[in-house]
Amino acid sequence: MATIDRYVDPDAAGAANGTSWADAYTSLNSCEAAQQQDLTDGGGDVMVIHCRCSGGTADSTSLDINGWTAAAASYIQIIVEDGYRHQAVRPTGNIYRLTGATAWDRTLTVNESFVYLDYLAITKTTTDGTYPTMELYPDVASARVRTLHCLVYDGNGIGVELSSGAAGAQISIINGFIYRTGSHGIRCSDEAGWDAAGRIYNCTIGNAGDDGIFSVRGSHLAKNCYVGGSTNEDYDIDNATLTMTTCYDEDGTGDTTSAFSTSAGAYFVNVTAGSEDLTIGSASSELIGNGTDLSGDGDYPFSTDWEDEDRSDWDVGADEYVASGTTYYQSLAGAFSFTGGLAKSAQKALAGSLSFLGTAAKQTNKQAAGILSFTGSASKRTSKSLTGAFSFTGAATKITGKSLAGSFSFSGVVAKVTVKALAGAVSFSGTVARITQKVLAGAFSFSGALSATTLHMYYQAVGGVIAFTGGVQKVTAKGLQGALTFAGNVAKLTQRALAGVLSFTGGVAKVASKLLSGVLGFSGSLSTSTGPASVVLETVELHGSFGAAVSMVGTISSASISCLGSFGRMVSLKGELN
Amino acid sequence: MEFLIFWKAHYMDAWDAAKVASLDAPTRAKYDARYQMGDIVEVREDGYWATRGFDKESFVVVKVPGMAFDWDKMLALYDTDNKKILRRRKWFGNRTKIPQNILNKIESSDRVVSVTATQVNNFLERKT
Repeated sequence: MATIDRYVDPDAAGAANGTSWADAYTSLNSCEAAQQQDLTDGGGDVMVIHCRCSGGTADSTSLDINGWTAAAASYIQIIVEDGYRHQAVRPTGNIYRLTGATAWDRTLTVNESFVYLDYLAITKTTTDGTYPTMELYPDVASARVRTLHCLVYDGNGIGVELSSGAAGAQISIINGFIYRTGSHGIRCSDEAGWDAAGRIYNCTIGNAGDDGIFSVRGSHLAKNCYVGGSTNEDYDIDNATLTMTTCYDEDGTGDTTSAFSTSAGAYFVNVTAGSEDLTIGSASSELIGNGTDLSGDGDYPFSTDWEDEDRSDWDVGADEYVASGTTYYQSLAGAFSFTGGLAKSAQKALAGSLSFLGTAAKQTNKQAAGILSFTGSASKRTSKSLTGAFSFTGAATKITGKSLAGSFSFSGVVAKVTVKALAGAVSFSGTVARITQKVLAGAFSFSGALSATTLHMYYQAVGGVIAFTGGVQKVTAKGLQGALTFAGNVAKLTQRALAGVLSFTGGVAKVASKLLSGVLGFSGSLSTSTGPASVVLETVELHGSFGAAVSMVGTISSASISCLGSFGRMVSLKGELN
Repeated sequence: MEFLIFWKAHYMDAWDAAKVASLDAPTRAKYDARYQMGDIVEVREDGYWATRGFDKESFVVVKVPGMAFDWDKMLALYDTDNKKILRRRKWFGNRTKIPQNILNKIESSDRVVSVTATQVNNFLERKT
């Protein structure tokens, strides 16, 4: 048994054979066409098709999943990659979505019997024909077709149609959002002989153009669902069995009625047609804690919501409400993305990427292997072990990293930055009041305005290049193997061991070097310069206006010393000049 | 308009007549609806594949500059209820009707050919 991984990215520009992200197919349709095979031969395989849109281009073809040979253990899984998954609202930007563009066609039809669709966002853009956006139509009684965490939105027909060529084929829709469909949100088995066994669990369906759930034939289960805003009935049962368990509605056709509203009943974030966000927006929602625990369900047990948050209270609908200030992840293998305000976010083991767009009072990562990017403000950010890149754009009062193996880039305002072990490059563009690094192996560059008189920079071991453009109050480095370049003003600069090049452009109030084996070049004003007891300089160059004395005390060995400029007092070289 | 065309044998093509005759109804339907050489997988606007690659082991690209865009060229052929797929695509490039000079280009290492609308209409056919 082997897993065959293939990749789809409409923005890829490689060989398009699907063997990597670089060479990804440019549509799910072409991937499906090229990869059709017998998955059951040779001991059996699993086909996993990973989808993303790295440049934000929608996947604009339609497709039928058909023509494979699959089985329960040799299935087809289509999964949207971390960081490209829908956020319960209409996807834009780099959220992967399958839009379809074909007149008279469904956007996605599943004719195979063992297919899993995870995190897909699907719509239908054509206005020609009223066929479903997604039709699930497996053809054997033992079928297991599942959609997990999917979003179906807009379109001019039915959102999801469940039917089957064999009675009893099980089709599960788990943690789904379906809204503003042109016709029914979900239609179950529309004709005799196509009687699927639907399992509609924890779905939220809003603003359907006809019924929310229309059960025509067959025997189906709906559990923990909410339906509201339907043009016709929320739940409409016709010649079929739809067994409901803790299902909520707006119109009295379900088990319990709760207003489809942002200010009462369900308390969704947004119920306006065309702008839906049917996540729960208030702790007052009647959906909270009123669902049935399905972690032991006989057909499809699960225990998370649409964004993989634990269902600790079992809310009704796709979303499990989490009060602000309590977002917490112990083991997060997928992507974590954030848009909005947050009082606290903590991750103990984060293998995927973490992206922020919003404000956070506190954000902590203990082990983050992926990319951590932040756009917004944070009062405190801490990363104990970050092997990926970290980028920050915004304001922060404090940033702390204990082990940062990737690059660290910053653009914004920060009061304090502390990194104890930083192996990658650091680049700054902004203002900072204080920066401390104990072990910096990579390059460090700074470009920004600095006026705070309290600025303090401290390096214990810097192996790379340090470049400054701006002002600094104090710089201290104990072991600097690389080059240090300044373009700006500095109040005080101290190096205990500097093996590389030290060059200045700007003014400095005080410079002290105890061991400087490289080149010292200075252009600017210098009020005081104190050298070490023993200095070996290859070249000393003093260019500029020096109001105070320039003194070098100790044994100086240098190939050349040149003094060009205006010296208000004197230049004294004390000791033995070799 | 540019066509991405299925240009290889489908794995079901290896099934012999006896096996096909023995298939149950769902599998037979699947067999009939399999991709076949020449099926138009996608249609795209002019220039689409100028900046993108494609799987040259599975497809060829036929470019017809200036030809009016038509989604219909990549639709499936459904039954009368428009529910069950009878053929994976109703339009296909009939290899036997492609002039040799064009076929040589299609089956070269580039797997891309540019033709006129008149030329493509000579070998583009609709299934029934």
